[in-house]
Amino acid sequence: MAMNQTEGQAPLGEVATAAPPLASQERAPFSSRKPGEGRCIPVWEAIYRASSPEQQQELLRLAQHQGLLYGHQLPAAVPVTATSLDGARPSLTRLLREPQAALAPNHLTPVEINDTGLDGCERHAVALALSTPDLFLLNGGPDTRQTRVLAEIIIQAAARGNRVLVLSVSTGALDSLLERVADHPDIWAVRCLGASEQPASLAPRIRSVTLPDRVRQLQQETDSAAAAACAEAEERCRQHRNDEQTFTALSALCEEMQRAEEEIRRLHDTVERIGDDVAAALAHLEGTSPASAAADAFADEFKALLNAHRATLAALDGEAGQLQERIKLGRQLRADQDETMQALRPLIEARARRRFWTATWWRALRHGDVARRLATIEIEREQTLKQLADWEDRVQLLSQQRREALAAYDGQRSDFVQLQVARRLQELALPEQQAQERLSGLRARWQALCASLSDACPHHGTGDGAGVDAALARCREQIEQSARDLAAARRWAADLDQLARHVEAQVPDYVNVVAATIAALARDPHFGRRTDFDLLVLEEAHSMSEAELLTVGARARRWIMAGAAGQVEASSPGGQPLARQPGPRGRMVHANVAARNSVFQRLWQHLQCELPALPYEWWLERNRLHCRLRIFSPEQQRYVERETLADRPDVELHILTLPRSQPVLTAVVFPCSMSIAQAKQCIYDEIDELAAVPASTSVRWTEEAGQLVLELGAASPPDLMDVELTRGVREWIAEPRGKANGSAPPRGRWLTHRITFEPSAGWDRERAQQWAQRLLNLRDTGRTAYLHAPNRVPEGAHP
Amino acid sequence: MSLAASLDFPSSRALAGWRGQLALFQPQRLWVGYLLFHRVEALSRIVRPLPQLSVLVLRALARESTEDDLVHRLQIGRQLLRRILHGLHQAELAHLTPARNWRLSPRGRNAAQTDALGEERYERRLYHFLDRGHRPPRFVHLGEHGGLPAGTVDGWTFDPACLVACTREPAAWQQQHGFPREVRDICTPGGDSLTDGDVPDWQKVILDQPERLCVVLLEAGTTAPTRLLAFEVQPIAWSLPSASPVFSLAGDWSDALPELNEDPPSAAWQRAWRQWCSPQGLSEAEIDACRLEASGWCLRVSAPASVLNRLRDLRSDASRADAWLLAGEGLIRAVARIETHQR
Repeated sequence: MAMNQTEGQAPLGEVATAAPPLASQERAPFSSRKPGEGRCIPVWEAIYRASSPEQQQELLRLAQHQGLLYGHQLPAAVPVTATSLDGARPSLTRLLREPQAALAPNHLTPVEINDTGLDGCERHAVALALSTPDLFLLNGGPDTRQTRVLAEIIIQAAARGNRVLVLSVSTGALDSLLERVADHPDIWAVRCLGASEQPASLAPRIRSVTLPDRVRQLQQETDSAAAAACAEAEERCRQHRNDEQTFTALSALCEEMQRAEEEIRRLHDTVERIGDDVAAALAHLEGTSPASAAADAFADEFKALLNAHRATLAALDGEAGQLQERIKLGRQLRADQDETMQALRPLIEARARRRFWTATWWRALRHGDVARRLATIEIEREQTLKQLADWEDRVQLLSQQRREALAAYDGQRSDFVQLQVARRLQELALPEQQAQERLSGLRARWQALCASLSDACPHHGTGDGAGVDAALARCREQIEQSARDLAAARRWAADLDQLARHVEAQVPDYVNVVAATIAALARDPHFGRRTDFDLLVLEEAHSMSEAELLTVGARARRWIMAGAAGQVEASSPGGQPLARQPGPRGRMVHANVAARNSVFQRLWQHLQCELPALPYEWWLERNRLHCRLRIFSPEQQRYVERETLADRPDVELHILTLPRSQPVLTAVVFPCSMSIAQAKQCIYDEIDELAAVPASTSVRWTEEAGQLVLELGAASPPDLMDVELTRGVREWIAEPRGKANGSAPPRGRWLTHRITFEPSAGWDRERAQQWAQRLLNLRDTGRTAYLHAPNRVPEGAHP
Repeated sequence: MSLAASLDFPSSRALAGWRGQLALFQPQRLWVGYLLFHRVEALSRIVRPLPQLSVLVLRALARESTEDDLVHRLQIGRQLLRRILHGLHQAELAHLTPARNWRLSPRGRNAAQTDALGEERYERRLYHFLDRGHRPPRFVHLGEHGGLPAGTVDGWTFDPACLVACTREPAAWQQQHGFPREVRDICTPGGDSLTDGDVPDWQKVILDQPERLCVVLLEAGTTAPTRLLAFEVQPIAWSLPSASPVFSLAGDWSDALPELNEDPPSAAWQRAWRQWCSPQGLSEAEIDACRLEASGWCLRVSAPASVLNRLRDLRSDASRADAWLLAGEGLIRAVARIETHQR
């Protein structure tokens, strides 16, 4: 196979590998090795995106036709850059090369700070660090709360799901930071061990977050916890099964109790109904014929009574009937006798009157002795009447006897009923007592069984069957649940047992904060090659070289560098030389020298909040205060015209009126009667300009005593004078001091050292920054924050 | 000019420098040269298995639980648990209810029930196939290593079916050959065998680029089947950047690289010997007087005493048994150390 002459072309140059000499003539079309790595990454997407629409169509057509694309078929001039390979994010290399050009705006998002002790500046630094799309520099000397701010950044980043790599040069700073974050619930940190470090030599808290300890904790503590969980689940299962048996017994007991209660209820009902029952039985017996057979002793007894009663009545009724019959006959006889007597009386009268001419007389004659006959009849009638009266009396008596017999029967019957009821009550008393006793026994057993139930299945019912069934059903559900729990616990324990062999390999996947010294990271077998960090937090960044920075920077997508850049040098308290600090790889260098030369210093200078050159200048001339507003060339001096203010004729305006140009106010001269404060206020009020001559081009936002401060000088002199420009905004100025050689500086050259903004007057940081940008043209990349050491009480100074 | 002719090969001194590193593997035979690879980039359907610890927590979530409950039940610590839950949430296998309970998503429940515990996604992956001329290329797992671009090579073709076939191979094959088991399928332009309807066509484009990897090959093992180990060589300094092989082939390596089956002919060794001797100032007669016998990675040179004395006088590496020869003309050449003996 021969290589043709096209090899060595690099159509996609910037992506091409920094190839060794052998391959230098054959630069890759699209190989994209990252610095310091042998790993290759796919590049098709970047190439496609960087191609023109026509090229894209052609590439797709070729791919469809051939089934794939070959490297030599890719467009030769597609400008694939490192940026296009990695989204819009600039590489660290580009940031170092052209720090400002590649920067996207840092859009601040609100952050809820956990550490309530942080001041406004520190909070702002945290917010900036979290929102930066690429790089953020945190500049603070040893007396600042830089570690605390970094801890907050790490905690916030981890809570947002970021994987954070924390690197430092020395273990001291690293461990100090790690101790602050390691206990946070959103963080599972691991501290990598250096070559010379032994776990035993570490502080216990730090040792506990080394990978061996993490693995050991997971294996031992989790295993023992899993075993305990198994035992607990088994015990719960056993308890639930006991409870199930108890509930089953309770269920049977419940039925027994119900039966007993039913029996008692039935007995009660029987007792209630005894009178009626007896009455009904008697009525029934009374309704039956006397000859019918009796069913029981009760019936026999009652039948005897009833029969006797019936016999009495029958006797009375029989006699009364006979008497009635007799009375009827007697009355008939009486009637006959009355009729006979009635018939005889005319005859007797006819005979007595002797009227023989009458037929009556003759009929009387024919009848014989009618008088005697009448007398006889009258006697018989008397006898009949008497007989009738006797009989009727007898009937009355019999009737009376009958009523008495009935009354007596009723009384006997009632007595019989009472007797029967009493007897029956007596018969029921024992069964009822027995039923009550049985029920009491059952209830006692119920309570005992309920008391034996576990706490998991309490039941305090009173024998309600439905309640027990429901409780039993619940218990069975709990049995199923506890069985599932037990199975899960056993499976968990078994899984952990299996996992134990791989746990060391798996644990690193879950770590979201890796803390290491640079040297330790490089040799770490688990994290040494990982490049999937979202955020790299570099402590002591001022001690790192560019090469080191590039090497570690490739591991993350965003970078937070914390260190001490040049400004610290000037603010060193009391002018003391800065302490010697360990440099990279143990070199001892002066911190300020290291900082001056470090890449951190370079980046800080490029990215820090910077003030452009301003045209303003103040000076005193002929006892009058001059303020230059615009710079112009000496040749243009002849175009300068002088005017005075209409309402302040002692204030002189210098106006540059160039031909064919708009007049420009170039300077204002104030009378000796006006103070610098009045002059500054006048300029601010009249022409809306802040005629400030910054004491330094290095500016930073800080917060002091509740005020927002824009520091324009490295150190504020003690004789600062304030000028209130507008409500809540003060400019702090001072005249420069004499030089070391004793020469006095020219008077009236006022320098601005700081501008303060009063929050109570409505000046928040955003408004203050807009104000500063408008009046000072202040540029802020949002990539830096300067920490100072406010109110820091030296150790040992506490009461 | 042939490709092999345009390439540099290591000198005897360079080869001697590797001896200590390679001796650890008890080489039986040695070769050095260049392997051509198809660097194939393709959109792949990946089913990445969940880490086992996540699987365990996923199963524990069969019962909806609060974080506190899980901490109590699993006893793995709140911090680690949160990390695991975060991972499950990211993989859309579990979610947090408004009542702050962790609950399996339908996908998570399905995964837990079917034990299909993995997160599926599409990503572009790189695969390396050893080019074998007219024979089908063979997959070789190079890990994070990779060769150098080989520009345009005449007759360079690749059939994507070779790559797709690898995804269909049994797990044992994939494990043996180091083919990533999480790769379940390859998206091909216009392919319809996948459930990749949402993937735009341009993302399915497969890209093949020739790569060249300079290696020293070593047959290791004293008993069959032996293994073939390949160590990456950095041609700049002719050094071995890593003590670990860039890939290794098990028993069937002679099938993968059939050119290694045949030892170089004696004429090739003669030529190499001659080339080596010329700079040493040996005459043609002296060179011809030597007899060569290749055995493994040793080239026994039986030479007259005068030749040996000459080499000793010249302080030649050969006199210290530290001179090395390369035999052959192809991309891969046999390596042997010169062992001199007096005839």
